[in-house]
Amino acid sequence: MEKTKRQRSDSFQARIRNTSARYPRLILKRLLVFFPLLFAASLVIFFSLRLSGVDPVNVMLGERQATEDVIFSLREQFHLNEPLIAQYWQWVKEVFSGSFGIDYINRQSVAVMIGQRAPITLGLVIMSTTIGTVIAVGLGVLSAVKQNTILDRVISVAVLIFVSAPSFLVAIGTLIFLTVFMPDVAFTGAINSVGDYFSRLIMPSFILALYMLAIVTRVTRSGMIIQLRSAYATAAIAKGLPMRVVIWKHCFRNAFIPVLTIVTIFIGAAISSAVLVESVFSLPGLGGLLTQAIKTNNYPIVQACLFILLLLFLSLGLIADLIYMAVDPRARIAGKKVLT
Amino acid sequence: MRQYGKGNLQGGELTRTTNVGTLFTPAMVAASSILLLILIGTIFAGFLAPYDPEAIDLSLSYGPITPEHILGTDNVGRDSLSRLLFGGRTAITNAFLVVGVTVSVGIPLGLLCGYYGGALDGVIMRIWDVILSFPPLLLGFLFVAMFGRGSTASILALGIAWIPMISRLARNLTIAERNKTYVLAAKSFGFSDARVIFRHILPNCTSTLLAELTVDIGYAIIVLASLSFLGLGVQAPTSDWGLMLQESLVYVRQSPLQTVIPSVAIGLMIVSLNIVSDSIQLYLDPEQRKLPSFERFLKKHGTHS
Repeated sequence: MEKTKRQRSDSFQARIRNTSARYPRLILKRLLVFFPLLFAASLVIFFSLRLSGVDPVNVMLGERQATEDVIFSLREQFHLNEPLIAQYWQWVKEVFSGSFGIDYINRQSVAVMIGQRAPITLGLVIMSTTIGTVIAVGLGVLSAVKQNTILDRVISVAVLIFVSAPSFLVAIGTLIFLTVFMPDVAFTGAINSVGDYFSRLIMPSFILALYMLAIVTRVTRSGMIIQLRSAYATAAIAKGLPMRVVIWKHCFRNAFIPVLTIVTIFIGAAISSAVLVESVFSLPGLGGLLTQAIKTNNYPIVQACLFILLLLFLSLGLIADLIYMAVDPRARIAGKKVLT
Repeated sequence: MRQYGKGNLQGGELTRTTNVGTLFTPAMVAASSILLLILIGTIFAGFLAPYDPEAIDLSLSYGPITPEHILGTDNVGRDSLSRLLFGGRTAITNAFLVVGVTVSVGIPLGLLCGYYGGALDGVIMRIWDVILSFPPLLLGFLFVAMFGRGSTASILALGIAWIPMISRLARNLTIAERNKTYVLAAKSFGFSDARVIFRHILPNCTSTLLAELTVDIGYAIIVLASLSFLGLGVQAPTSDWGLMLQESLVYVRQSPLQTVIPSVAIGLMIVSLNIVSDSIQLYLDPEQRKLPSFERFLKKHGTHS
């Protein structure tokens, strides 16, 4: 009896030790989910746009009249007389060559248009997620350590207000506040330098960050409370470690795992909200390009924007999953997330 | 014998009144009365609105708050109060339609997948995986591009976008219920599968599904408003909260009030919906249910003997 128990624990130890060797294989496994999903999503994007029944030639010509020859040459030029599968294959080739095709109205390379606008959206998503996580983790740990004090209550109430406020409403609220009380602050116009970039993006990023603040704070707080009450935390305190070390080195590392899961979920929300917040602050990001293209049925831009936003969403999720596996050995053993 | 609540121990069975604890916390009462107020305002918009919401009067552009126009007028002189009431009607009706589309397709599909499992379940869940890999608003964009702009398109778009979530929930609940004794009993009576699924399993899932749907209505209002705000949803001149936001934001420097009105309306609606659904969820979860303090419990329900 004694022996079997020991053997079992030995094999468990061995499995843990082996996990670093398994890591590359698990990354591969995760990628095996990632690429088919991306492929399926690209199919959905491409074919559902073609279902709309809008003739691209009409979009290209607009109100102008054209002869049969012109229409035929346009069809030839944009491969519209080929079957849909061939058009899809054409698009896939364009995506891999990095050009994303040519748009119907301005006849410009879609990649160039996206390249000009992507830094804004990408910056918004990354900055807001970083700001949100840092603030939320700080507040969560603080309210867990100062559990059931007035400070804890204040934080939880303040945070509760932001749970329900949709970020584009908060953005509009901020905008109204600025126009009424600080009419001098400029939030429109061109972005010329790196300084401009950050000064224009910092406020929208904060507003986007508020959205995730509430739930991430809650999760951090409840996770930290469980960890702080556990026996190993008591042991660490009892052996005289400074609280700072107990909190950040011992407890936080364990409490951070569920937080990471939640943050990944919020990245998706951040991407969608970024589109809206951009539009409120008239930032020249992907959102404006996308909505404009939808209104004019300019499908090469629509499919490229949707694909890139989706790629961003899925790859940030992938990165988070990889970090997750690096942080949590149990996720490496099972090859899946372990919800604690 | 210990006696909990007003219910007596009858035949060794506790009656329903033992389910103490309250749904009506102060926050819940406040939130639901705000919701009721908004609902009454929008349902009776035809009687309450002082003017035609689409009547243009350019002489009144950006009118201030006056006794005639309680909330002022917008850029083309339409009465804001009337537009707010009718706009609420559009927003709320559309949100209910979205949830209607989701429920009528998602729940039956989820129940069937959960009950039968097998290949059907596998295929449908893989399709949902693909749909769920899109953030909802992006899927909304895709469907709007597919169906064209307008309120019908945006309702359909969001309805379809949310089918996977609700049908997954229904599926998981069904899987949990499927092997319980009452299902076995119903089957042994010789009831048809349809009857077992819809008359026996579905009622046992409704409370969880309902709590989820309350949240969804809130989300539907936000997302529909954001689509109209981007000019992809409800088209002018219909009154709609999202559209009011879009129209007024262009002129925010001239008349901030006109932007404040729809924002506050949407905000109030969402916050109260969230509080209501949160309270329902807390109530349904016995561990977190808000219980009266023990002294009040004793006062209300007599002594424990």
